Amino acid sequence: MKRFYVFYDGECALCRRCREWLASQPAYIELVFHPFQSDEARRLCPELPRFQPSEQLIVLSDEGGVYAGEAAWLMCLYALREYRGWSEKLSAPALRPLAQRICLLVSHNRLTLSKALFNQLRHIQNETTGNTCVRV
Amino acid sequence: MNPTVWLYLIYLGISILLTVWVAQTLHKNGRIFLVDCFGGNEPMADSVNHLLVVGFYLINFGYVTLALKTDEPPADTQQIIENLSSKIGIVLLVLGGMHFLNLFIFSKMRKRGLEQHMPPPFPPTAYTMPPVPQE
Repeated sequence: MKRFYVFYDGECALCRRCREWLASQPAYIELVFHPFQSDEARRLCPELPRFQPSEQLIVLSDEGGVYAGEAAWLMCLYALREYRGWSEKLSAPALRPLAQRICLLVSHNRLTLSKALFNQLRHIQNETTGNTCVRV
Repeated sequence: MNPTVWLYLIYLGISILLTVWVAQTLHKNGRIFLVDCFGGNEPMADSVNHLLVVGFYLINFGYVTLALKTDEPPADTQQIIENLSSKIGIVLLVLGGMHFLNLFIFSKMRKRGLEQHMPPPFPPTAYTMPPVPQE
């Protein structure tokens, strides 16, 4: 695996902050980010709506493997040089349910959290529609 | 020679022998560990091993020389032995600390080396067509 396509919610400020943080980290596997609402996301993964990207983070590997929800988060950690060890720890049977609960909780409340933390909900029309989101 | 000079000579002799012994042990037994850390790259492992030993000698000899001077010159053999024992004790503790620091660094490097080749922790949730990157 050489590249992961990360499909996040372009309308959520928290998700965009997470994307910025992920993109700034040194990585073993290249992370390419696209809002799930973008045309490029639909082009890369025509089946994307089937995986409910509005409900959870989706990661698509260049080999066609799909990771959803906490699995997607753990794969993002797996891609990062400094956090690969954490992906293994959090994937252990004892911790994975906890990771799943936290990811579900954050995903379901991401818009509320974004509003509370950053006080901005929808201000990136370009990123949800155009190709400006291609930068990594 | 007065007792203080004897104290210094014995202290230096024992400290130098101890340092050389620990450094040689680290150098000999750390090599295979480092080769593993660097994914079988032996010249790299040998180079790092040598550099680590040089650093180890510098720090230890630096400490041994700094700690040489005694504040209470010993008057008799009993005081020489007492003084010597406390000095050598500290040198041993410093050597032990350095040894564990070395081990810690080695294991960190090894873990990092292994992580690089770690397979994904779990299989994908589902499969779809592999994406075609934008030209």
